[in-house]
Amino acid sequence: MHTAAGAYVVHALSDRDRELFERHMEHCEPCRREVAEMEATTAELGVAAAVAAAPPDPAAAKSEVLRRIASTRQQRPPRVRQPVRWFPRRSARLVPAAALAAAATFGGLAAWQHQEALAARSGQHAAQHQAASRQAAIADVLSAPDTKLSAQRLSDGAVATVAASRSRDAAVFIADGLRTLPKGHEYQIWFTGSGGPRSAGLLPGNDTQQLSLLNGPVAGAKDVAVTIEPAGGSQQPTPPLLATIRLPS
Amino acid sequence: MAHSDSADFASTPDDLDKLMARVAGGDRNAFEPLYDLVSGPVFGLALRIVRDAAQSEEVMQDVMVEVWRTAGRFRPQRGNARAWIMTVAHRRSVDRVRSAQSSADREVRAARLGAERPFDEVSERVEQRMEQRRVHGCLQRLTEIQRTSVVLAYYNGLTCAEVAQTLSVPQSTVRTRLRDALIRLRDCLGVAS
Repeated sequence: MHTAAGAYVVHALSDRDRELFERHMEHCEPCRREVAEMEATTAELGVAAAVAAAPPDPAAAKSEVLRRIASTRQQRPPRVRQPVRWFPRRSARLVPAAALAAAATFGGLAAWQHQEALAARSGQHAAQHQAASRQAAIADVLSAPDTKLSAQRLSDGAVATVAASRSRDAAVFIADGLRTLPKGHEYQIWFTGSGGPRSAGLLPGNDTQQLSLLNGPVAGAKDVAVTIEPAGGSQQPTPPLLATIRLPS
Repeated sequence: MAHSDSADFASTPDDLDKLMARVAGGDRNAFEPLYDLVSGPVFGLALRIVRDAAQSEEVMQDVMVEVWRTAGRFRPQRGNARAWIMTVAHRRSVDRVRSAQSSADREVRAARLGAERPFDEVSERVEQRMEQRRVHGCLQRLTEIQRTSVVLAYYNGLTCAEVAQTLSVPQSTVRTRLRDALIRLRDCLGVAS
């Protein structure tokens, strides 16, 4: 599979082979690096060979493009599984609860419910029961009248949202577009505040979408932080903090 | 005008990356300077591959709109904006060439191109700028089959299967040669991702 990198970069693979190679790349960091270097290389070929000629009517061509982009919406970044460094944007942004209706959330809910259904189908009654009660608790937090959302977009496009209800003293963590972690790592969520950080739960490192009831009360916490930890979690957050989401007051 | 500025495009990767980051953030004001920097080389590459000015202009416009639309997909960690945009330009140009021709036409074309020694055709025009001379020099250091494979696939938009047919070698050989060639070019050009 590895040998297809060159053909991939010059767009010479058949659709099927291209898909196979792209799937292979998801799990092959050396391949991604090689492809990036090769793309930089072919860019040199492209610039060097670019014919020094103008479009028939450069001004008209340009104004048409500017007109088109004025009415073209930008795509949301895709949920990619590739190692991108994560830097949180400075400030968390409060969003109205109505934004909860955003497709991402319900998509996340559906995906999560699907996973839970799969887990339940494995026949473990305890797990089934637990899943059902967690699902009920999540629904309860999301529908509480005083629930507020706080969202933060990370530099790689992932969006982390905390929905917190003071009356329920509970919070739900929602994320979309998270990157897949190497084996043996998990995301850990923390409540942080004057009492120091306390763990709010672990999230599997291989799901790009997350919807999870955070463990423990919201009271006393100021922020929700996300870190990457060894599987099983840590007692204290390991820097860097991937996100620090201010809890709605 | 933008089309004559490919040297600037080559010498300002940082500026381009900054503009790209702003465009990715939805900044429409950053798009016009980005357009001015890259539309020339994008059009020039399209013309090299598509060989028709009107169609190349459409390709260039589609590329620029795609750059705007999908800027959020751009990952600075995976390469610079220049590489990303030229990759989009190459794919769009190749798509245009392929959709324009039936497969029978393309087989004929592949055979004709193979007979034409396409590298010479490219190399003749690659003499003017220092950048171009450097690329030309590196292309010359490839083996014949590596060079021909790259030229047919990159500059003429042929698939592996078509290159294989043109050169009468197995597809697996073409794949290997393309990879070897790009690795050698990468090292020769001193390209870091």
